Amino acid sequence: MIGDTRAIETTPDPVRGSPSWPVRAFVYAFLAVFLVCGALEIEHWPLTGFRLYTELRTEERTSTRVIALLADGGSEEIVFVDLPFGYHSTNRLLSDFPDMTQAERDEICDAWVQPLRDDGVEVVGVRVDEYLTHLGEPDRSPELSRELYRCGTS
Amino acid sequence: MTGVLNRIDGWLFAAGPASRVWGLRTGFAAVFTVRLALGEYRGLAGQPAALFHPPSFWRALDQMPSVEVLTAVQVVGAVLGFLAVLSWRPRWTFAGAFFCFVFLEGLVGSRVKISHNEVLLILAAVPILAAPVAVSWRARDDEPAMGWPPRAALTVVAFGYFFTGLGKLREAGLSWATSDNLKWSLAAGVRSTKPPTDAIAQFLVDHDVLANGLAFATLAVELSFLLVLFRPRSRPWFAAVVTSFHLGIYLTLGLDYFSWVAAVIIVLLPWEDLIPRIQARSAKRAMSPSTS
Repeated sequence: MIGDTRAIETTPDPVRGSPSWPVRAFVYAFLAVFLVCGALEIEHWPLTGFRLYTELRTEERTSTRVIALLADGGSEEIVFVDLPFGYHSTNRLLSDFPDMTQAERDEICDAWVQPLRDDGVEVVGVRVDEYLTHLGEPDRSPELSRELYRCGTS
Repeated sequence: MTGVLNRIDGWLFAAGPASRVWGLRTGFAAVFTVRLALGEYRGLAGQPAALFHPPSFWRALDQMPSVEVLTAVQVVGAVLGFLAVLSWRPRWTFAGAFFCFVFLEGLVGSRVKISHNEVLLILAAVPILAAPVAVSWRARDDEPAMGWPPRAALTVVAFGYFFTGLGKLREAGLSWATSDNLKWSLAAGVRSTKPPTDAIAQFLVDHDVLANGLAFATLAVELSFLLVLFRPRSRPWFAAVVTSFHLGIYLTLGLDYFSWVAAVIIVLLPWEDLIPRIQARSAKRAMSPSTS
C-alpha cells in the first residue's frame, strides 16, 4: 500500500509539442514488426507469434522419462525440475533427437547426468523411455510403451 | 487507404495526459524490479554448454554466463528499476532495468523452451523506452506528446491476446472449444504436481459442459480483446476477466502468467488516478483525533 506519497509528488511537467518524426518512425516500425510476427507466427524472442496452447489435446498423452543407468546395475530417473534452474525444460531437446547424430545425443545425455556424476554417482549411460497416459482413467498409471534411445558415455 | 492510415495516425498520436505515461513507466518499472529481485536467474549458471539453446540475439553467446555476470545484471537491473519507480532520471534508469530484465529472461528462454511468460510485459514496455519523460502523476491535462505511449502499449496488449486466440483457431479450428481439448488439458493438470490444488481442475474435468463453456469463453475473450482499442469503458471488464482467467490457469495448470496480468492492469487501467484518493484518505486519517 502507498501510505506516504510525498516522494513521488513533484512539480507538473512542462507541456511538450507533437512527437518528432524519429519518434513516429520508431513507433510505426516497432508496431509493424510486432504485428507481422504475430500475424505470421514468427518467433524471434521476445517478438513472438503467440502460439499458446494451440495444439488439440486428446485422452491419450505420450511423455518421456530420462533414466540414468548406474554402474551398479541400478537406474535413477532424472527429474528435471529437481535439477538446477538451468536444466529445467531441457528435456524438450528430445524432440530434436531424431535429427541428431549419436555423438550429439551422447553430449546432451552426458550433460543431463552431470549433477549425478558431480555427486559421485557412477553413471554408465542414459535410457529414454516413452510412456502412454490415459487421462480419462485417473487410477491407471502411465504405461511404458517403448524404449526410444540409449545415449551417453560411461 | 490514405483515409484509413490518417485515422490510425490520428488515433495513435492524439494528445493524452502525461500522468498516464508516468503510470506506465512506474508500473512497468515496479514489475521489473520485483521480477529481478526475486528471479532465480543465478541458478542458470553452470548449465552445460550442450544444453544452451538461445533464442535470436542471445545466439551471440556460446554458453550460459557465469554466476558473477548473472548476479551483477540482476542486482544492477533491480536497483535501476527501483530508481525508475522513484522517477530518478526515469528515461535512463527505466531503459537500464528493461534491458537487464530482457537479457536475463532471454537466458531463461535459452533452456530450449521458448518462454512466453514475460513477452507481453516486455513488448508492451517497449514504447515507453522512447516516451517523453513524465515525472508526475499530477499532469492530467492532455498534451500532444503524451498520448502515443499508452496507445502503442494498448495496441500491443490488445493484439497480443487477439493473436493468442487467432493461433488456436488457425491450428485447431473451432474444435479447440467444441472437442474435449480443454478437458484433457485440465486432466493433465490434475496429474501434474505444478498446480497448488487439483480440486478445481478435477471439478471442471468432471463437468464437460463447464470445460466446453470455459473453452468458448477463452476464445471469445481473446478474439474480442481488440475492443479495448475502441471502447475505453470495456477496459476494466477485460482487465477483470483476464485477471480471473490467468488466476484460473495458475490454479488448474500451475502456469505463472502473472506478468501478463500486470501488463494488462498497467496498460488498461489508469491506476495512477488512485494516488490522490489514497493521499486524501491518509491525510484525513492523520488529521482525525485518535479514538484509542
